[in-house]
Amino acid sequence: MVIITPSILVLVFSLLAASGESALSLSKPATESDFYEVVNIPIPDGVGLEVGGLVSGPGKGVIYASTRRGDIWKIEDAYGPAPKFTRFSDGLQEPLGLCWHDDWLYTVQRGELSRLKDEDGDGRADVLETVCDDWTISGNYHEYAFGPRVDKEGNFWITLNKPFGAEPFGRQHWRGWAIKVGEDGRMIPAAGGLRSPAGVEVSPAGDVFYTDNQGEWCGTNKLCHIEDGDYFGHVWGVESAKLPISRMEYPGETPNGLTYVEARKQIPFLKLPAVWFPYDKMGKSAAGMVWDTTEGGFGPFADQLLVTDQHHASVMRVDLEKVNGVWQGAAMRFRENLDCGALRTCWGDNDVLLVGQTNRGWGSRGKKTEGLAYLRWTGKVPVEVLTCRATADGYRMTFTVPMDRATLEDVATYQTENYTYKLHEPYGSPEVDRQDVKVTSAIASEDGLSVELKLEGPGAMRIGYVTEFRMPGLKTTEGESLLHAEVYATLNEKP
Amino acid sequence: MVLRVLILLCMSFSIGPSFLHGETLQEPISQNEAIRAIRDAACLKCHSATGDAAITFRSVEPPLLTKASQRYRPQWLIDWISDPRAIEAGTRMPHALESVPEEKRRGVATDITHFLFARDGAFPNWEAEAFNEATLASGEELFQAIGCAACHDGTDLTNRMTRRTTLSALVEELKNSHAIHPSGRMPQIPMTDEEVVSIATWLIRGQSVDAQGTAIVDEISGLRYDSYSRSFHSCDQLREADPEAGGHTTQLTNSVRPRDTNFGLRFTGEFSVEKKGEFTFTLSSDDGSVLWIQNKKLIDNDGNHGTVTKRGTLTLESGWHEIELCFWQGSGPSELKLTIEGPGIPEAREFGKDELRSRSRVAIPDEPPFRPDPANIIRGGRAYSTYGCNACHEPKARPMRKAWSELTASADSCVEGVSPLGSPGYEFDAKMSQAILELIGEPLLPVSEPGMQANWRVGDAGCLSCHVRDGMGGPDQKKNSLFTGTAELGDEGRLPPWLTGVGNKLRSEVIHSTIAQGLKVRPYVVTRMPAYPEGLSHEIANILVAADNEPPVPDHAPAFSLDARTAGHQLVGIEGFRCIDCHTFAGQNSLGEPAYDLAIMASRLKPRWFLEYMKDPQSKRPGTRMPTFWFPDFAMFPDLLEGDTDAQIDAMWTYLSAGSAAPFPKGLIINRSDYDLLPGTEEPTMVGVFMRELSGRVVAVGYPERANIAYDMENIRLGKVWRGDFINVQGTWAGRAGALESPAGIEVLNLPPGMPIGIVETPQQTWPLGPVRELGWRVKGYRRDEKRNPLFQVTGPGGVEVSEFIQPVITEEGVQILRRFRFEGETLPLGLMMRLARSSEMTPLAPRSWKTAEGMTITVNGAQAEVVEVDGALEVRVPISAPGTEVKVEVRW
Repeated sequence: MVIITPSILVLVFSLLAASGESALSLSKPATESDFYEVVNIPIPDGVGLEVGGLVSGPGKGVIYASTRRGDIWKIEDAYGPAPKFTRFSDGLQEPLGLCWHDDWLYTVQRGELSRLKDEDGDGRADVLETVCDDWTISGNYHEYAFGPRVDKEGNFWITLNKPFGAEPFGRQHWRGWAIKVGEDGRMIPAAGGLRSPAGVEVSPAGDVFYTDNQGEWCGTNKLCHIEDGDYFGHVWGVESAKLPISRMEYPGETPNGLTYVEARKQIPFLKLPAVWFPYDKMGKSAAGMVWDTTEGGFGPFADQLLVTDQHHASVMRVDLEKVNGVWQGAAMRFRENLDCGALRTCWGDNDVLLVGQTNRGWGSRGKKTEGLAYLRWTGKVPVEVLTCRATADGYRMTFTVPMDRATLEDVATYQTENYTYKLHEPYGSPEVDRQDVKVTSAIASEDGLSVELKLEGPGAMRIGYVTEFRMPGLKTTEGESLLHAEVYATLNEKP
Repeated sequence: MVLRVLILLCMSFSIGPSFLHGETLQEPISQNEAIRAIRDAACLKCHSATGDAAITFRSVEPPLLTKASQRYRPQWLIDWISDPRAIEAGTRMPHALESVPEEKRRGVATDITHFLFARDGAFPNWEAEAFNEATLASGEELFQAIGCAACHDGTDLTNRMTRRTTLSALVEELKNSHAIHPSGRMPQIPMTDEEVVSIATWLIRGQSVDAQGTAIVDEISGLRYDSYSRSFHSCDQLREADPEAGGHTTQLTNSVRPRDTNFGLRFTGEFSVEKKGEFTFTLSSDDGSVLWIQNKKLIDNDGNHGTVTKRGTLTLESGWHEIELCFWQGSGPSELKLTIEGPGIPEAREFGKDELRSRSRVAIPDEPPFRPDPANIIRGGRAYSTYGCNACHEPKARPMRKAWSELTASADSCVEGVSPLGSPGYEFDAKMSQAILELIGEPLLPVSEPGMQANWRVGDAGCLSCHVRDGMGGPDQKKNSLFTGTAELGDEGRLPPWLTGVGNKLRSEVIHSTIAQGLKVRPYVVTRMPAYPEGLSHEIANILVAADNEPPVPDHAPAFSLDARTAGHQLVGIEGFRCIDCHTFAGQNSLGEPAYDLAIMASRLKPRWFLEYMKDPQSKRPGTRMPTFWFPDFAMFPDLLEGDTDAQIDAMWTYLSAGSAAPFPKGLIINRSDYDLLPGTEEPTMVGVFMRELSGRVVAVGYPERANIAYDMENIRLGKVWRGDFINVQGTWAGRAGALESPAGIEVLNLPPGMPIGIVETPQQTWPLGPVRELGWRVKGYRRDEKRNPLFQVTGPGGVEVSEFIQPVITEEGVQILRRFRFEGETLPLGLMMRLARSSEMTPLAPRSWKTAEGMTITVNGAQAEVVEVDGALEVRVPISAPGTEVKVEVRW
């Protein structure tokens, strides 16, 4: 296996760009669709495809999609003009995730982790096994369950929403928790304080991350690294921590109205997000995610994380780094204006990014209510910030193509802000505690592919804060602007 | 320009409450804060001003003192005048008597109180009033939720009101606050009379307990009543029940009913007649009622009936007699009326208020007698002008001190805490004093800045306690959580809307009517918009419109065309931008969240604002959940009106201009039958739902034979079977869903609660119920046979595996259900048992076949079944001992 590192890729793409392969014409500003084409998979009449879970294969042209109405559809010849849909299973309760493991198709319903198998090969599941149902639901619509995702030890990770409104069958434990299910089928409640964790994923290196949605006790949408014992700040389910099987300690009373960083001084195991997604600037409801494991097949962003947003019907991009053992990263826009809210994503054949869609009950940009689409890289390299990583006194940015060194080194190129969020009961938090921060020095590399930025001011390099960069004036050597000129970098540790 | 920058900077500081009286302020104090303080302190009432100073420092008008005697108790008023700050920290009332030596202050205050009472010509008696503790909880809830708490601290206000006034006076004040506060300082929150009484009762509750905290009970006119919110079938039954609530009333009617149906009332107390003799009582009621006089049943009008009138006659001595009246209502309308006629009462009539009395919970203003004294009154009148009361309060004198423009900083100014003789005292801290002193004389004032006057005026009227305008105001952190609403809409679902740019957003007549009538269009925001006096409403509306249209904003008038109207109709519906996903329309629910009704928008908003907001919602309302639908380089509907953003927005406006008479947007009205699930012709249909009476985890199966089942995966049991239509899943598949579904068909049979399989120590042991997992059972899943019928699988104690296959069977009497259980395991646990029915009767029909009192017939094949009596009822039980046992149970119903 050939390992291609991002820097080699960048070099390759820069060469391509230099040779004119990027085909960016100066006459018309580049748009996202020049680089990533959206293709909607045609859905036959009579098939409701409010996609909740999505998995590719096995076999070429095959996709399985679970729906909010409780079906699992097997789609064959999915990338052809007339895909064939077979109802693999029905009767499930809001299955919002799918994965293959040991030849079983695993899904999580509201009330159980299940696995299904088609034993007679007619394309329809003959057996459903309940793997774990150690949690209960109170009968509230918001009690969704997301996952399952298998970690390196073979545990299935599932994230459980807290209810929102009436609980007709009584309040239940473990709502707002990330749980894992071991091989014995027993539940291990790993971490608490989640709100509406619409995506959970295991990184290629084995780290578990989840996305959460803005609301009470969740300042804005966020991407968090989960480990056993973590607390993420939502108070709903903390009483469950008193039960012996909890891996999280009881956090006591959560302070209401402090910034997350200040609150963490009172509750040391309150985990700061790896990445904040500033509200509206970076979507309004973060959901599914997938690491770019295409090794360049999907463009220049190998190893980065792609996160869907249900409300904005978009895919966002995150460049993660681990500093002093703690994850943090920079979020950037990537591809917007899909036809419907983007809930779930996974890789399809030929390195296309499948996006499962639904907006029922919440609304989203786009004119459709449900669907299945994929993004295909056109082969052209967009002008983008590739990475944005913390240094001791600022950030180092790299770019997908060489940038003009003069503007790169002009500190006026960079508009910067620094802010954070409050942990509190009201719905969402404004960006708070803004302090001035300025780029005081910008040193570009010879090839124009990277720049070292030094930040100064009271808002420089504050732990637990977002540094927002806006670079509308940054140009390539050919005079082209960045396709997305903003970067939102969350700092948890300084190298 | 410099000044403008300064002001804009200053505006980022909240000006929330008054800055008078020693509140600690963070530096620096802005000019705007100092202006706010001068307006609140009403400086111009003494120091006349003209021109810009008159506008900038315009005083907030104080309450009118007419009829002060009706609402202020004398001892409180004396205390208040003596030192208002000691009673209410942060009050706008200055310390009028600060220059009077401390030992003489109460004397002067007493004189002024005499004067005010004499002027009203009223020295009221302070009597006990009925106190209805049943309203306390709702009073507190209302106080916190509907807006009172945005300005008032509940504990503080309770303490003050308990000493200051009486229950009835407070009710009156709350109903007519505009008559007392023409300045709008106390606007009127729209409330029903009951709500006003509840809030007043809660505020005054300190008068209803003695020093030890014991409830005070006293004899007062009217009767005590108990109320019951449940169904009865007789008055005897009602008399034995415990009431849920109660109170005090002067009317023997159903007006105090807790709800309209299924309730009861019981009145107790005494009535009086002036003359002795024979009296006739007439009792009409729907449904039943019974009247007792002196503990003897006089009229029995009991029973479930329409209005029936009955009479009873008895002889009474003059004076007081015990009375008890019980009344209950089932379904339908209710009525209750009791009249008396006899000596001195020639025509039958209801009891008057003073002819009834009872011992009831009361509120007593603990107030010593206060009677006029001419000497006090004369001295008080003099003091009223000597100490400048009449600078602010009627009858008003003209400003009698130095004009504002002539003021200079001096050591004995009232600002700096040392009041010259006859001047009131203010308690500004040093920084605020300095800031105010910088504004005396002839300062450069920002009065011509657009928006400044409007911001001052809305500040005067208290609008900024709830609303944000130009970055100022809004609830502070402590009060923020008092604002409630629908969490689904975040802060927009609970906080009152911004006033920034409102004069450009709403039509001017809408601004006026909103302020004057206390209107609100967001039913999900619990806080209510209060109403302001008419003249003031006009003034505020005009000033907002003027401020927000400076420089003038050009008008915008989308032209009507049929094409635009058609396109707009499409864009609002599900084939367009799907506005109805979140917005209600003409009172019809949206498909999701309950945001602001689309059908009223055009009658309220200005079209230009609508256009700008639609293009960029965040610019007008940062943080809004309203999405952006148009992008510079991307049109979602390129074929509609050539994809032109302005034309599409104008088209939506054109459509919305028809208001609630516009045709519904496509997709708004959900056709419930679209969610009827049907069985397949060859295979069953399965669906996962929440189901009423079962659990949040139910698999419903509709078989082609038109028999249907609900299998409760949470409690591991067949819960319901029914015939005919399967199920409607609108509550599960539409919108956010989450409804508890029910069978759609007929002849629903509910199976007995609990698993049909259990482990018992003796055959007659009580059937084990409770959480199945704690009993050692786990659901294992299901297999589908070649016809896709499910075979449910369970594991239990000792590794026993049980499967249940449910199969419709066609019979002469219609479709029935066959349940086939199979038990597997190396050995089966001791005491393994099935329980298939429980009923008061178990009629044997054939060997191993019984019919229950409810009409279900059970026929058991493959194992020994017997009927045993358990806990007072009969159960069909089947002991299971051998692995491989298969039990067939035919269920007919």
